[in-house]
Amino acid sequence: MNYDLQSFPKIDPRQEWRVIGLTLLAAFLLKQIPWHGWALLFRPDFVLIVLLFWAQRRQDGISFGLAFALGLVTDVQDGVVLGQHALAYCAGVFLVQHFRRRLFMFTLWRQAMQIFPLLLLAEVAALVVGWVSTRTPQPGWVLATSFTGTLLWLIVAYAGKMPAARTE
Amino acid sequence: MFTRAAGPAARLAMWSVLAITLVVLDARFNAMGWLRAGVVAVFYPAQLAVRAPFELASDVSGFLVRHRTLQNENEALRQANQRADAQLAGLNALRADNEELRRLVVLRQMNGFDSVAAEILSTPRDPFSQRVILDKGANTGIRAGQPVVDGMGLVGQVTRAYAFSSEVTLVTDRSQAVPVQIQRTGQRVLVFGGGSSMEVRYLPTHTDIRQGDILVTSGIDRVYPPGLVVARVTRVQRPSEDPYARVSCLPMAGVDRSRVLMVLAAQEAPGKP
Repeated sequence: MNYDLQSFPKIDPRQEWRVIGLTLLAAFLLKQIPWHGWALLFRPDFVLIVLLFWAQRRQDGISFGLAFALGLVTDVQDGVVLGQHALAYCAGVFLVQHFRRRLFMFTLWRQAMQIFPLLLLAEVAALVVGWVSTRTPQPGWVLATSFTGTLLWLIVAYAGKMPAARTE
Repeated sequence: MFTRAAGPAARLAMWSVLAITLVVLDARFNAMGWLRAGVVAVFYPAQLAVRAPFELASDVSGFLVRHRTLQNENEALRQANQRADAQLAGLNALRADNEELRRLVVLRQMNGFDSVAAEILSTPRDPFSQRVILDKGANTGIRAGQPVVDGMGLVGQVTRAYAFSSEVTLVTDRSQAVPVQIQRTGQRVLVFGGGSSMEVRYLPTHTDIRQGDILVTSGIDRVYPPGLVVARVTRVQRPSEDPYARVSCLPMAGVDRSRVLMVLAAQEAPGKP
């Protein structure tokens, strides 16, 4: 499974933001589904995954402002300290963009292996900020969603590679 | 956009500073309530819209319950009703007695509370945070600090009230402590949240507390009205190496089961959570 820069379906630049907006909206709506109990442990952070996908995929990346705003929405919806996920999302986007060229050199599976520590880092950053600011025990189990997040990233990245994603 | 001169690392640093400023403002000074309320108000319709099909599905599956189940349930309910009627007769007599006694000892009568019925809208992402979001908010008079109950006892406390929704921290949350009395002896103790269960802490080993004891709110904190059932003691251990007894309890209310909850509007100004 070769995954180099040339093999992408091309997206018309005028359509690009529409596609990005729609995928982010879909991720946001998925997040609103009322999940309960243990299922929550397996629920990846849809918005973060889609955000990271575009950060890697887009030539100019994703602006930190967008990552920040989406992080704030997550903070409000999870009822945690404001800024916690805003910081984590910004850090995630930065890392993906920093390693962008490097990531493209690998196959999807190998990329996933590098996305996993990245997701873990973003979640840990959020937990650390939460703990330092409120000194309350933080939900370490949230880290388990990094696994499912990596799986979801694989699916998203694979779907993004398929010709069907062409919008020309 | 920013000038192209600022590299990604510099821009990340800038946004991080902004994020940390927000964290400090929110956690230390509690100054970001307006932003929270704004975001919640903007996304509330989306939340409702996504929830609708799930509600519908559960309504439909509820409608298709088998006839036999309904008959059995009906029979059980009829019997329960008869038993309840009998008990009610006794209770009415007791209530009359009770009121007379209260007048005698000039006890401050527990006033009727204004209550708002609210449904659970969602649970936050973290399955261990023991919080729920209700579908009623400041528009129906809900304020932070108000106690939340269901038919069986105390469920928790409103910790944030938004315009159309509110966040309730359950009594089982690790950050919650409720001042209670042991119903049998009247001794005042503190019961703390412990994840899915609760525990009484800082209780000397010799204290008279047994398995099965009921804990009710003492009302001394002016947040919870006195007499609300909170928890039942499930286990008491008295380790010899420890000056304190280890007392585990389970909440009486359907903390993780009830769907409809009542928010009580206290007569006095409620304390801060």
